[in-house]
This record gives sequence, C-alpha cells and structure tokens, in this order.
Amino acid sequence: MDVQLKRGLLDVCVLAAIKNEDSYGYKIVKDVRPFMTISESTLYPILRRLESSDMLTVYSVEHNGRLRKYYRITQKGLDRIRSFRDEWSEILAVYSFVTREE
Amino acid sequence: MNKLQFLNQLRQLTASLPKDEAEKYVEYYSEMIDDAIEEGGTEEEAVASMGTPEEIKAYIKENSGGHSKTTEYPKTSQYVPQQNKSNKLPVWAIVVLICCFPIWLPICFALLSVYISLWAVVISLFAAFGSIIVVGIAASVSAFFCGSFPQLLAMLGAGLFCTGFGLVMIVAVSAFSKQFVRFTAFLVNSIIRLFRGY
Repeated sequence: MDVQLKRGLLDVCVLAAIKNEDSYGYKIVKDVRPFMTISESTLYPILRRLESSDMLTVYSVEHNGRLRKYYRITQKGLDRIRSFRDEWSEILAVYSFVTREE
Repeated sequence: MNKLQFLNQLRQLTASLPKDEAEKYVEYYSEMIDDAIEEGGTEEEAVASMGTPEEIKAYIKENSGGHSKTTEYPKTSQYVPQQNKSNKLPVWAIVVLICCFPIWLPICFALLSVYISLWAVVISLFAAFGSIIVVGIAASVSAFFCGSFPQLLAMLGAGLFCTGFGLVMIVAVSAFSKQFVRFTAFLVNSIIRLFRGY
C-alpha cells in the first residue's frame, strides 16, 4: 500500500480505536492489528502526532501499581473520523464505477 | 533481553533527544512491555515483540527530525514569514526618502511625462500605419475605376504595397508595445519589491 495512504489510514484507525471509549497503547495495537499492520513502535509516533494535532488527549491511571497512559479522543479527532468517512464514501462510489461489470 | 536491558538500550538510543521526549519513549515502551506481560507471556517475549533495537533506532531517527513532516499533520498554512528582509530598504533610507521628496517628486513627474510621450509616439505610429493601410485599400479599390490598364496596374500595385507595408509595420509596433508594457511591469515590480522586501 502507498506509504502516505497507509499513514493516513493508520491515524484514523487509531482514532477509531478510541472513539467509543478511552483506551491504552497495548489495547489499541490489539484492536487495530486485524485491519492494518501495526506494531508498538509504529503506534508511538502516531499517538504523538495525534496528540500534537489535538485529536486526542492523554491521561494516566493507576493500574496494578504502575501508571498506564490512557488516550481520549477530542472533538477534532471525531471530526477527522467524520471527514474520513465522507471522503471514503466518495471513493467507494468511484470504486463501484471503476470495477463495474458491463 | 529483559525489560531493564531493553529500557537501558532505549535510553541510549534516545540520548540525543530532549530529556522529556526521551522520557516519554521510556514510559511508553515500559508500559507496553508490562501490558504484554500481563496479557500473557514472559518478559523476554514481551521485550522481543517490541521489535529489534535496529528497528526502534530507525523509528526514533525517522520521527525525531525536529518534529518534521513525519510527525506532524500538515498545517493548513505553512507560510513562514521571511526572517531576513535583506531586500527591503532599511528604515532610515525610507525616512530620508520621505524627507527628500521635493527633490525626487519633480524628477518623477518629468520621467512620467517622458514615459507618457513614448506611448503617444506608439499611438501615433499605430495611427500612421493604420491610415497607410486604409489608403492602400482605397487605392487598390479605386484602381479598378482607372481609365487605362497601365494606370490600373500602377494604382493596384501602389495600393497593395501600402496595405502590406502598413500591416507589417502595425505588427512591428504592436510587438514593440507589448515588450514596452512588460518592461513597465518589471520596473513597477522592482520598485514595489524595494519597499516590501520580497
């Protein structure tokens, strides 16, 4: 897959993983993995990027005697998901057209 | 490799980064390893699933280039105002310029009138050659009203020559005036750039 495309898709995937409930790094990797190739190392820059673009916020929760970072989606992150959805319904329409059988 | 070794190696890999960034890396991977262990697996397995040190080194390098385009969403406006306004006239020069306006203003007017008269010349040339064309056409037409054949030929010849000559000269003058306009635009832009700096 095109690198830029993949990066954009991964960003939205991560946002989707925290869309309905806050989540933490390891769980996000597990949730996204069925759909896209993602590792702990590839997730890290994505989380940083999303945070600096204000699409998610981070907070720490105590868990089994250690601190675990949780990620919460912001309104901007939700908007990003929405625009992804709109963009891709267009792309799907084009796809149907391109692959139609005469 | 156990967790401690891994984190120490990570600290080495992030040594060149700012302290809080390096610390974030360590926190992240430490948490990841702990979660991996919690989900089932040994410490060694958890550490191994983080990737090889080479891979992590590559990722860190890729993402630490001063938070370049790989880590930031492209901002809508990437415009960075020029730091060094080397082309712009310094403030004192502008002040001197303003104070000296009794000197340069009349000169400007003089130059402006020269410029306008140049255009007047161009316009009159257009008019002159335009009328030559008209004359040429008229002569060619009236040639057919001439009494004798030689007269007809002479008139027609002269008329056609005038028409052709006029057309050629019109083309030449319009080409020249086009260049003249371009030159004027260039002059104006240069002057504006002197004050704006770009």
